[in-house]
Amino acid sequence: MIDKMQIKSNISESASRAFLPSGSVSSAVDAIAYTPTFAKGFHQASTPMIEVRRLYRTFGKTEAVSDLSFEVMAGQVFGFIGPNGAGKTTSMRILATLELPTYGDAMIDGLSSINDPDLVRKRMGFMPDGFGTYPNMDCVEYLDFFARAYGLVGKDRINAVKRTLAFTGLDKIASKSIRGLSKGMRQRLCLGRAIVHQPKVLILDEPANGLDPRARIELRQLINQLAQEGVAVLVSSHILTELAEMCDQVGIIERGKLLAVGSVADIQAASSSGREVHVRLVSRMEEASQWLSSQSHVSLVTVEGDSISLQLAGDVADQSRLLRGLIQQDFDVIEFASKERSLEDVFMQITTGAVQ
Amino acid sequence: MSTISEGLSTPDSDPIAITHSSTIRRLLDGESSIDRWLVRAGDWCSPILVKETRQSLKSRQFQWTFILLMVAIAGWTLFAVLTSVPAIYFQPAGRYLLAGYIFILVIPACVVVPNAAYRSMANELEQGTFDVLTLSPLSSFQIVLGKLAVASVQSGFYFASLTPCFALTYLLRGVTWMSIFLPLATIAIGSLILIAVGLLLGSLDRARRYSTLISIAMILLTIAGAFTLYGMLTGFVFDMANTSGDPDMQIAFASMFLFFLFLMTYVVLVILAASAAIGMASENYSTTIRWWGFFQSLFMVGLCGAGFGMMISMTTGRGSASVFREAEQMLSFFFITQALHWTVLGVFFVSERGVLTPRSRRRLPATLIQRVFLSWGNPGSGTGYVFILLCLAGVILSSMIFWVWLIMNQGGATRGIATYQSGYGELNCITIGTMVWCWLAFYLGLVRLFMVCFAKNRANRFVLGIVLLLLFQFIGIAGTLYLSTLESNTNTPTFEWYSIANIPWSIVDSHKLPSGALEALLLFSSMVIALNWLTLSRDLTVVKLAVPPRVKEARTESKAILEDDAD
Repeated sequence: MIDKMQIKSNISESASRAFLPSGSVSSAVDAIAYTPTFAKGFHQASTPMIEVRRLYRTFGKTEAVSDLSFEVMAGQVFGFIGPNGAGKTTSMRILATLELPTYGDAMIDGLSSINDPDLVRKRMGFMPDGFGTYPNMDCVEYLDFFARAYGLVGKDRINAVKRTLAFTGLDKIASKSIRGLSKGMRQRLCLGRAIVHQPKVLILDEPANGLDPRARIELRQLINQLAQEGVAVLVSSHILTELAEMCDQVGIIERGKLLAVGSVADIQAASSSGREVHVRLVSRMEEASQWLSSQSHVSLVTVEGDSISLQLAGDVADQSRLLRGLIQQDFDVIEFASKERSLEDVFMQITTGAVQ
Repeated sequence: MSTISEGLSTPDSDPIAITHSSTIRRLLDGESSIDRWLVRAGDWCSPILVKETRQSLKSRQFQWTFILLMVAIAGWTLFAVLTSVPAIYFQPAGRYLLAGYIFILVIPACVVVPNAAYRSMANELEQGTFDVLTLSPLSSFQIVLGKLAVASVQSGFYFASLTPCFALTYLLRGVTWMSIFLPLATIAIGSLILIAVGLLLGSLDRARRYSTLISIAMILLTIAGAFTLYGMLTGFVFDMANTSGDPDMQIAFASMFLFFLFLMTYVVLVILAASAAIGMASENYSTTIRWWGFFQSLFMVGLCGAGFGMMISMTTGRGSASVFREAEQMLSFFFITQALHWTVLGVFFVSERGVLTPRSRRRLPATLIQRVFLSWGNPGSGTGYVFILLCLAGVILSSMIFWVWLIMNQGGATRGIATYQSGYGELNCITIGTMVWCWLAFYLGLVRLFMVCFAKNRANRFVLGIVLLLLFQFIGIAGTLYLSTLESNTNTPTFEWYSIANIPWSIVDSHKLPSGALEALLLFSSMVIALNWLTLSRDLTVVKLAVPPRVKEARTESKAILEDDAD
C-alpha cells in the first residue's frame, strides 16, 4: 500500500509537470495547485464520500441495476468495470442525481442523491459519457458560466476559472471556440467544468473514451492528482489496464450486479486459483514436464518449444520450492518466471459477457 | 508561491499565449473600467442569462435576423415615403407607415424569437448539454426564466432598432402616442407568451421522440399567432385614429391593460409548467402550480368585480334590466372561462401518480389546521380533484356574491331581482354556474377513476389523462346526439334530459333545459364525486417526515460558506 501511495505520489508530481503546459503562459502555473476547500463543510473523514445502498433500477422488464452496494472513501479512486449494458452508467447517473432508482439509495457525503439532489450537486462533479458543449462559446466563457452557476461570485469566480484553466491545461486555448476543440480538449474542458467548484466527489463515466494514448495518460495523471488532494473519484472505463494502475478499489459489474469488489490485488488473489509459471530449459523438456506434473500444487503443464507453462496453486514459498526442486533434479534452468493474473484475466474469468 | 495573476502573466515573445491571456483578463477581470463594472454587474445577474446572452448574440440566427430587420426597415421606409409623395406633405401618413413597421416587428418578435427560445431548450436536450446544465445548482425555474429573459432581451433589440421608425410615424401625423404604444405593448406580450409556450414545448419531450412534430407545431403556432396579432393590431391602429378622444376608449385601454396582466399570469403558469417538466424528479412542483392556478382564479374574480363596477358606473341613463342582463351574460361567460381554466389544469392534477418522495414529504402541512386546509395542495390525483372542485366552487360563489351585491345596490334584492326578471326572465348565470361545476366534477372524476382503476403505474399519465378527457367529451357529445336522434320521430335531435352531458349544446340551450336535466347532472356528478371520495384516503394519509440531521447540518454548512464568502 505504501509502495502504491509512493508510486501515486511520483505519478502526481510528474503529472503536474507533464500535463500542465510548460512555456510562457503557465510558467508559474505549477504553483497553482488544485486544492479543494475541505475546511469548509467537509463531512467526517470516517464516513464514506460515496455510498451506494442496495440500489435497484429497472426499465420495464430489464433490471439495469440490481442490489448494488459499495463505498468510496475520501481520496480513493474507485474503478467501475463492466461490459456494455452492465449498469455502470445507470448507477453513475443515479449517484449524479440525474435518475431515480427503483429501490435503494445513493449517498454523496452523507446526503441522499434522491432526496437532496440540490445539496449533492454542490458537492459533486460529474462527467457523463456523452456530453455536449455549447458551440457558440469559448473555453473561458464555458467555465465562467458553470462557475457562476455554482454560485461563485467576484474574485472567487475569477480565481476558480483561472485555476481550472491552468489545472486542465486549457489556458493556452482559453479564447478558442468550443466548436474548434479536439475530442481530447473537450474532455479536458468537461473535466474542468466538473471540478470548477472544487467538489469533494468526482464521478467520471468513461472519461478516456476516444482519447489518444498521450491524452489518456495525462487524464489518468490528473485523476490521480485529484485523489491525492482528497477527492473521492468514481471512474468507469473499458480500459482495464488503465483502471488497474490508478484505482485503489475496483468493482466488477455485470447485468446490474456487482460481482466482485475490492483492491485490484485482493480481487486477483480471490479470483485466482494460483499463478502461471513459465520455465525455460536448455534440454530435457519432456522429462521436466513429467517431473513437474508429478509435483503437488502443479497443474495444466504444457510444453511449447523450449518453455514449459504450468499453473501453480500455491504461494511464493511453493514457487521457490519448485525452483529448488528443478535445480536439484539437474535440469538446466535458464528462466523461471511467474506471472500474476492481470485485471483483464480476472475480468474475463468473473464476467460471462452476457448482456441485457 | 506566485499568485494566479502572476501565473498568467506572459512574456512578449509568445503571441498565442498573449492572445489567450488577454481574453482571460478581458472576460474575467475586465480591461477597462466599464468592463470591470460590467463584470461585477454580471455577478448579480442569473448565470443562465449571462451565458445565453453570450451565446445568442453570437449566433448566426440573431445576426441574420438583425441584418434582415435593418434591410426591411430601410426598404419599407423608403418605399412608403416615396409612394406617399407628394401627398405626404399635406396628408397624414403615419398610420400607413406604422402598419408596415408593426408587420416588420411582429415577424422577428413573434416568430423568430419564440422559435429560437424553443430551439434553445430543445438543443439542450438534443446536444446532451441538458444533463450538465441540470447538474449545476441552478433550479429548473432559474433555467427557464433565464432563457425567457434572454429571448426577451433579443426581442428588446428588435424593438429598440425600430424606435426611430415609430418616432417618424408620429412626425408624419395620423397616429397618437397611444396608437403607437398599445400595438407595441401587445406585440411584447404576444411575444412573451409565445416564448413561454416555446420553452414549454421545448422542455416537454425529453425523450426526443416527437421533436420534429413539436418543431412543426411550434412554427405553425407562431406564424398563426403573428398573423392574428398583426390583423388585430392593424385594425386597431386604423380604428384608433378615428375614435381618438372618445371617453369609451379609456375604458378600452383599462380593460386591455387588465387583460394583458391576466395574460401575464398565464406566462408565469407556463414557465412553472416548463420548469416542472425539466426539474428534479424528487421535487414537488404540483403544489406551486396549484396555488398559482388558485391565485389566477382570484385575479379573475377581481377582474370580474372590476367589470361589475364599470357596469354600475354605466347605469346612469340606462335601464337596470339591461345592465343586469349584461352583467349576467358576463358572469356566465366568466364561469365558462373559469371552468376551462380548471379543466386544463385539472386534467394534469387528476393524472398525477401521487407518489410522494421523502423530499416532498418533508414540506407537507404538519398541524391539524394546516392539514385540513392545505392538504388539498399536496401532490396526488385525489387531492388535485378536490382542490379544483373547491376552487371552482369558491370562484362561482364569490362571483355570485358580487352579482347579488350589484342587484342589491339597485334598490334591494327583491326589487332588483324582480326588475331583472321582468327584463330578462330566468336567472341563467346560476344554471350555468351549477352546470360547469357539475361537468368538471363529472368528467374529471371519470378520468381520475379510470386512472386509479386501470392505469395505476402507467407511464405518460398526463397524455393518457388528456386523451381520456377528450374521449369522454366525445362520447358525451356524439352519444347524446345519437340517442336523441333515435328517439326523435323526425330524425332531428331534440334536447332530452340526458343531453345535459353534451356541454356545447347545453350551454346554447341553457335557457330552455327540459325538466330533470339539471337534476340528472347533479345526481350523476354527485355519484362520481362519492366514488372519488372513497379512493381519496391514500392521498390524505401521507404524513410529514422530519428533515434528517445530516441535511440540516449540510444546509447550515452552506449558509456558513455563503456568509464566509460575503465577509
